[in-house]
Amino acid sequence: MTAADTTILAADAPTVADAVARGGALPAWRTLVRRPDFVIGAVICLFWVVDAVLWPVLVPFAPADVAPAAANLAPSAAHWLGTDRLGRDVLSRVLAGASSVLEVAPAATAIGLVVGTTIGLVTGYLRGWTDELGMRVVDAMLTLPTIIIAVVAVGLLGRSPLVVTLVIAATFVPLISRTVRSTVLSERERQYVEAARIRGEGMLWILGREVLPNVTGPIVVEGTVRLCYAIFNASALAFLDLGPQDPSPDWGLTVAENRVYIATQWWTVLFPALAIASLIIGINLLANGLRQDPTR
Amino acid sequence: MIDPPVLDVERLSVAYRPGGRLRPVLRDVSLHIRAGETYGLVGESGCGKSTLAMAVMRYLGPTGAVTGGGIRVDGEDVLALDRRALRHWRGARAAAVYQEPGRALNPTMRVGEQVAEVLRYHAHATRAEAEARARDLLGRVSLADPAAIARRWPHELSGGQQQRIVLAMALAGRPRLLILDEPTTGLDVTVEAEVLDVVRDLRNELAGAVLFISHNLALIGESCDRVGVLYAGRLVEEGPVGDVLARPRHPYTAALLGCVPPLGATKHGGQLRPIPGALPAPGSLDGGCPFAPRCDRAGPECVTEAPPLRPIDGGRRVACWRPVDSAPVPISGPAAVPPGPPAAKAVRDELISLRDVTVAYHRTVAAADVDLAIGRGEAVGLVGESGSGKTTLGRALLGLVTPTSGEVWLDGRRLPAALGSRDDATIRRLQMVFQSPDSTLNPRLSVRTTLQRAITRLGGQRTVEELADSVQLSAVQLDQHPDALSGGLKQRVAIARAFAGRPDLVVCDEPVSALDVSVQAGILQLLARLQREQDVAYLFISHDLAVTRYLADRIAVMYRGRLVEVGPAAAVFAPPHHPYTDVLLAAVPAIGRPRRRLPAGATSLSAAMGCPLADRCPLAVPGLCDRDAPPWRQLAPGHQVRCHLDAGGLAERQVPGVTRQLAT
Amino acid sequence: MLRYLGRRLLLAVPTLLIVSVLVFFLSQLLPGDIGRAVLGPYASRAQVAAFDRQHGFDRPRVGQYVHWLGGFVTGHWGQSVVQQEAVSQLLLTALGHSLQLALYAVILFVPLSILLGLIAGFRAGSLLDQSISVGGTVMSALPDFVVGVLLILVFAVGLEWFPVSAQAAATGGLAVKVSGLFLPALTLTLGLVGYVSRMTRAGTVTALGSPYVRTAVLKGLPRRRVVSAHVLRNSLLPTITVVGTQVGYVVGGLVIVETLYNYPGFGEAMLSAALTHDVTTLETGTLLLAVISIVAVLITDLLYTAFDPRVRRRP
Repeated sequence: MTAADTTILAADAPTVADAVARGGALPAWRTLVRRPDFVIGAVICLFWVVDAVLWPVLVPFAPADVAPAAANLAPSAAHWLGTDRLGRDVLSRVLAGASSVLEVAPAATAIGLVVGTTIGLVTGYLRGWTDELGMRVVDAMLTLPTIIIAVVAVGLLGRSPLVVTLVIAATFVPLISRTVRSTVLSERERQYVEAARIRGEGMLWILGREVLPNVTGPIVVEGTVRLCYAIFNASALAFLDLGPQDPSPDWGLTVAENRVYIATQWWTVLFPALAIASLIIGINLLANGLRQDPTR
Repeated sequence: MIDPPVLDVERLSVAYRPGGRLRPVLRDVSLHIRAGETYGLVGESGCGKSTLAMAVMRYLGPTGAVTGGGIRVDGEDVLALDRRALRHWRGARAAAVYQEPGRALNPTMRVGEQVAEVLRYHAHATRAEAEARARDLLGRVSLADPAAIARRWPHELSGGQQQRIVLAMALAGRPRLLILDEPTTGLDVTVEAEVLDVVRDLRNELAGAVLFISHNLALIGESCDRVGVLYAGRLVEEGPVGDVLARPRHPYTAALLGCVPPLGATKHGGQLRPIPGALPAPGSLDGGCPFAPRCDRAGPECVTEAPPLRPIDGGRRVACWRPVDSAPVPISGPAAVPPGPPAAKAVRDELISLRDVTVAYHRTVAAADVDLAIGRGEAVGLVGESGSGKTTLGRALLGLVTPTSGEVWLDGRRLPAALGSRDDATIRRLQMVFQSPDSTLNPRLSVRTTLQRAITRLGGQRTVEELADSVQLSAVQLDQHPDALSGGLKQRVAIARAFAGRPDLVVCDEPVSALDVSVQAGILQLLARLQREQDVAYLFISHDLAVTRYLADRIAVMYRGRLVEVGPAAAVFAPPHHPYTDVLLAAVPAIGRPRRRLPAGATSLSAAMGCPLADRCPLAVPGLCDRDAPPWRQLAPGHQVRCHLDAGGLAERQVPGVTRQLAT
Repeated sequence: MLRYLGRRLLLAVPTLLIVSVLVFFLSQLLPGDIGRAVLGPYASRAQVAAFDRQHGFDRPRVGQYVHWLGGFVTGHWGQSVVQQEAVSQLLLTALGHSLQLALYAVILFVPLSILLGLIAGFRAGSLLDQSISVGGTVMSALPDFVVGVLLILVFAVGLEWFPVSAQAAATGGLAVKVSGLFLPALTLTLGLVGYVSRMTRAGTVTALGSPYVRTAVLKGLPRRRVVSAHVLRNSLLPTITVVGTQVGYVVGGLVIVETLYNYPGFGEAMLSAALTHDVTTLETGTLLLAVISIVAVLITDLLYTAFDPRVRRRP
């Protein structure tokens, strides 16, 4: 870590360091439901999750139905969000598009969290050469922007949802393990951890019962941030033509396909973009609610 | 017409308002300080003394507010000052010095400039003038080579130097009122002595008044003219300091004096009388005397109505319905604890020892060539100032730190140095109690879980309830989490945890340093009792000589990583003994005994060869002490010092009453 | 200072080596034969073999790695396997375009972030602060193309103040660049402002709450002196670090913005290299990006040590 890194960690108060200082405690459910940001965020996320599963029931038209006669219609009573160049109903495609991003992003986040946390816990606790080696590799991966890694990897390996999920998960692992590691580094100096060592507790117990419970707060916070970036990356990859292919109603893909028509058929671009924005904002609000000081 | 007092606080009440609810922190406090006077304000945590200081400086923060009363400095109403006037007032009429001087200085500005600022903005001095006067001030606070120091950054200076800079900044504006809020807490005792000497000198130059806030009664005793005792936001007693400390009238003051081990008191004498109950949380009390729940003299009128502060003879005031009568408090009072075995314990077999242990990290040597043995059931005290290496030794015993060279022996057999290589049976026998009660317990586990785990892991035969009982924890507290417990209770849980498997040795690393005085006494008594009952050995590590003397049978003194003296506690505390021990004892403030002066000393690097103390020792022999490492000499059976002077030489130089000091 | 620099450079070398290994390994992940992947399913086996031989893909992997790495270090970057150009030509022109865009974005976002961060910090807890914080976080979480699309809709399509595409700006004169690159730079700015202003805010809040600011206030210093000499000097330290690392990141992260605005920059070049399986360009380009990142961090670190006396002159 550079000299400046420690200042950043200390200065990044609104997120991780704050949660660390609180000792990993999450606000109670009762306080959470009283916070407007948490509630609004939860509602938005819930909407999209339900939609991702139930869209076949919710859509007014089949998203893949081509109808040349009804092409390029502006939003109207018949088509609330208009139609695209092939006459497909934009509303239906927006509703159906949720499943494509939601099948990739949460899984990628979960995998990234599990792998990253494990690496962070082990390297942070053991130190020594595993730590040195691990951190060199992490540093190396962090020199490249995640989007480029994702672009290169998906470009070379193929664009199936599985590949995209695993690639995004892989780009998260370095950052998550770094965050978890720094939390573990400060936790392992705590006197109750030393007391555990003096009792002869093994590493598994110490990591599992003494350290991990005090680290869950920052992990959850980091997890929600990562989820946002998973959606970001998944839709960005789709935008760059590295995700699902036509005729998938994926939001990023739709924006990419229709952006040449942005001056004339703006509705084909605007609504999928807003859908992405709303999902991300929803998660952000949710995370904000979780992150705040429980005593306020 | 007499001049108005410099500080006049009249029925001041202050409350905090975090998240809506009003929490009163100070109630109806009235005091005044005249010019030339030093007034000590003493109390434990949460009593509101720092709040008073903040209130006077009008720096209560967004959540604090004065809810009643007034503050006047030199007749001027401080609470009525507008922003502009307040700015001019601060620094020029009143100034404050707080603890942790390192954090009170801007890390990105040279210290000379930080002092000069005051002069530029208050005295409207030009840059050159301000710099010159700043250098002058640095010299007045006894900093050697002021010109060089002025160009330093704060992190390059020692704690004592930093605090003197802060003092210089405070005095630069020539304030009429100087507030010192725990100015030496956290500083080594020898450094503390230097800083206080500077304050004392400058006080004579200041025409103004000094408000000295501390939790340390002895410190107040030797630095102040008058003292006021705060409890739970109320002033409960006030008067000339010698009088109050010798003849306290308020039950709390008397009880507080009974908690502080006088230098020389031991666990066998039963002089510690902890105060039952706990300190009230700030702002939690209403109506009635705040001390009533813990007072052994309380009566029905004490619970219903808070007593006002009333003058009694001798220029004193007391807030009590049933004040203590004016007989002096006996130093060795009726024993609350049955006296134990005779003070001189027979030497027992060795249980554990460090043999020729050296611990070095990259460039620093934490401990060098240490030989220390602890007998079965023996309490060995390890004292020293910061950087002495005492904590490192304790950790080396337990295997938390691997010595660079040397060995640890247990029961006549060599132990693996690292904790991970030791077997379970060994681990159970060696346990530790840590310093900070806040991080000693896992906040996510209940007390019951913590203790149960300790019992399971350490093979204890008792149930959780029995263990909790042995440290006077109630059944209710068992199911609580650490955040619901006070510092003293947390430390009791930590002690219970260490004793779960009936260990043979418990290393106590500053176990009471972070606790309030009234709570300390209870923990010390607990440790003494457990030792008696279970015949357990202690390595008691502390910088506090009085506390160590209370518990220890033998004492070892460390300086910069080296043992300089080992011997029975009583012998070590009286001459002849090592010159450093002598200086330490002289620097410790004690009630009823005036402290000898120490001149300001710059910390210099220890010599690699020769005695580490050679450049500062008052008895050093040039050409000998700085060249050759001193040998161990025996002053008496079981009492050794590491010094070039022999017993006779020490005895003739360490005549009681003659000043000895560490040199610059 | 020089020793510190030397030490940091030394530490960067193993990191770069690991990156090079990772990059090489990544490019070897291409399923199947490289020649086949580039030339397509209809090329004959002989053509594929010739292609492989020509580019050295038939040699053992370790040999290929050493050859490539050596070439990178000495400046011999070889030919693109897909386009008829030297890799260096391809990448460096693209890099030049990206740097111009990055510079534009930096000029926009750095002062803005600092200003917003300071405002939020000084008014911590207020509605203004919360709006800035939440707004900033949301902005940085939104994908660049979403923000870009919205900007285009409003400013290019709706108000017609700026062109929709930045393609012309790559080759045009200064005026064309300034107007053509404004929207892309603004898109980038909006994404970066959130994080950097949060850092500045955090630094400001910490400084304001610190004991040394209390000391300064209690010394009776005028507010402007407290702010300039005591607060700002300390609150801006984390900002330096963050700006530096963000700049390093920006150059490669431009791929989305460049694609959206049709700007022939580095990210776009890497994207098409990935899509066409242009292995040599891909490998060299990624490593180049890593080098740029590391240099940016190094410069930032040096700047930081210049400003924070606590880190200077380590023994």
